[in-house]
Amino acid sequence: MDASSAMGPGDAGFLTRFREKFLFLENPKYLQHLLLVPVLIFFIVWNVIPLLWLVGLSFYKYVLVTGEPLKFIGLTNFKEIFGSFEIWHALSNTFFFVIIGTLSQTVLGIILGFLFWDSKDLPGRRFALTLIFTPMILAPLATGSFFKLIYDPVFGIVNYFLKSIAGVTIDFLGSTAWALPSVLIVDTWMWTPFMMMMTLAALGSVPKAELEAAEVENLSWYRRLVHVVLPHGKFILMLGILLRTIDAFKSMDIIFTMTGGGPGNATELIGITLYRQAFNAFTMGKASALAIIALLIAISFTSIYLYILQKKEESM
Amino acid sequence: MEESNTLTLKRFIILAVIAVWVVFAMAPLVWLFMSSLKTRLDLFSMPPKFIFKPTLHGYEALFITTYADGTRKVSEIIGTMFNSILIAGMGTILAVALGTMSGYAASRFEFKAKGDFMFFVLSTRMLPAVAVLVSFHIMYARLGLADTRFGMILLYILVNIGLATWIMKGFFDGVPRDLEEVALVNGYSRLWAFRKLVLPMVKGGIAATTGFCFIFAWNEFTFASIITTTRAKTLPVRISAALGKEGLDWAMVAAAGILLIIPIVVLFYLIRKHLLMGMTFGVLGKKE
Repeated sequence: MDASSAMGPGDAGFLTRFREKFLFLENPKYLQHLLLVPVLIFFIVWNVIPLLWLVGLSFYKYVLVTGEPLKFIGLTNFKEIFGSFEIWHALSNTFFFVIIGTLSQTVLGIILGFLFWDSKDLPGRRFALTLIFTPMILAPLATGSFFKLIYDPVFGIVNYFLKSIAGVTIDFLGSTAWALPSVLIVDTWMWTPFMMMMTLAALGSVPKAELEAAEVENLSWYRRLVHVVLPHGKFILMLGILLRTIDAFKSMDIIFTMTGGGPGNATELIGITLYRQAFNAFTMGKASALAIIALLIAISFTSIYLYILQKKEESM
Repeated sequence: MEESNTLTLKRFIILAVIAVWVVFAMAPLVWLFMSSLKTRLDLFSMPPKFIFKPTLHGYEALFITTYADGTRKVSEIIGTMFNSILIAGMGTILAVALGTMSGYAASRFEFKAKGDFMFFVLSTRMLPAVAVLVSFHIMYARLGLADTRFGMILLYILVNIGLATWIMKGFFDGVPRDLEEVALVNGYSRLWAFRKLVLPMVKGGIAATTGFCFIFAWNEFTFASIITTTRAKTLPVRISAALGKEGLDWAMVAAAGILLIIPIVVLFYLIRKHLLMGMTFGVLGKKE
């Protein structure tokens, strides 16, 4: 801190008087609440109001465009959802997408993270890191549209290589069997760097001495992960997996751009069903009921996950 | 001798795996960039052309609309770009300012339910976008905020403020409290201490938060596609509309994709150090 900026509170003139009027705001009692107001507003507008709205709407038949008045129909929306084959199908798609996606991103991310950690003296390491992280920050819409181009059955580059190597072409996004795996590859392309970053952060949280000791003892990766990294960085890694799971569960925009849930309903995830119910069919009541179910799934998963995590921590 | 051989082998494997992933990560982007510079003929040629004469046809089609009678006009994409810059920019600046204030409060003052802060951030993430969208759609229509730039700026402030607060709290936690205590004891006000002592120390955090908020606001599609229709339309919405058309001009779509990702990539490369720090801080905070 240099001397000039440490002059103190004495700005002269009317500013001082103006300030004095508001001096009570500097009382920590008021200040803290004043500073927290924006977050509070955010919480109310973003969580409380939508939730109340959802719970309310889910008991009504409310079709947006027809201008029909709201009609109370009790639990009919929920009954319809539980009886709908499409929604069960979307849910099973979503679970497949979440489990396979998060699993492969976690495994690949941990491997890549360890590799990078081990290659501190590699020339161009930072540049390589920057390149690898790039997919994460791209607009889902752009990503979705150019993977559509890459996957194209006629002039897509992937099919060109496939044809020249294996002699076949696959309509990746257009066939029921391939659409979901193809979409998963894009998701993995985009989000493996995230798990890699979390791995690096977890490694970074381990005291240097312990890492060096592990190196001297020449522990295998697996043992290093379990005995050295996990005790310190478990929280970070588990948080990464949790965030990835929640986001994968909600994901829709990339897939929506690539396949729109198709072909048929091969890539229909719960996020896409929700969007469609609300803004293509405009059946807001049913969409609200479905959103509540999705939210309950996410909350119960998170609670169980955090509970297990804490239990393990205590037993260790 | 043998040991050094296995060491070289290990290094080689590491290098190879990293190289493969770098290629995997960048190839789609390189291909997109090449596609944006191709003519229609080159774009659809089989085998795909890796060496070709680049044209700016795709970019021209993006910026200039040619009508059936041959008149050419600057396309509406300029207005859309202006919307995107204004909305994402204003939304970011305000979200960062408010998030910095709240993050400071969350870091320094004790209040009820402070321990639940972590869960609070997680809970905002669990709500599906569409769930929030339903209520915003109805609310915005009632309030006359639908399809206005002001409404979109407000929306993006709200989207970002939680994360901004969370990341900034992490950075403020890293600044020793003694610093302000000394200033307070010496008769300086807390606001002065905040402005002159603490704020300069979290510059990196502010850069990181700004990066996050801008990336999110610039890329956001789901909300924009529902809330905006014409006047406040942002770039992603515009591109999505172009995607749905028959006889798609892929060079133009590729050009639009490049236009959409360039500002973000440049920003990322400029502040990547802070951003990566913020990413880990943001999800980490400080484990207390």
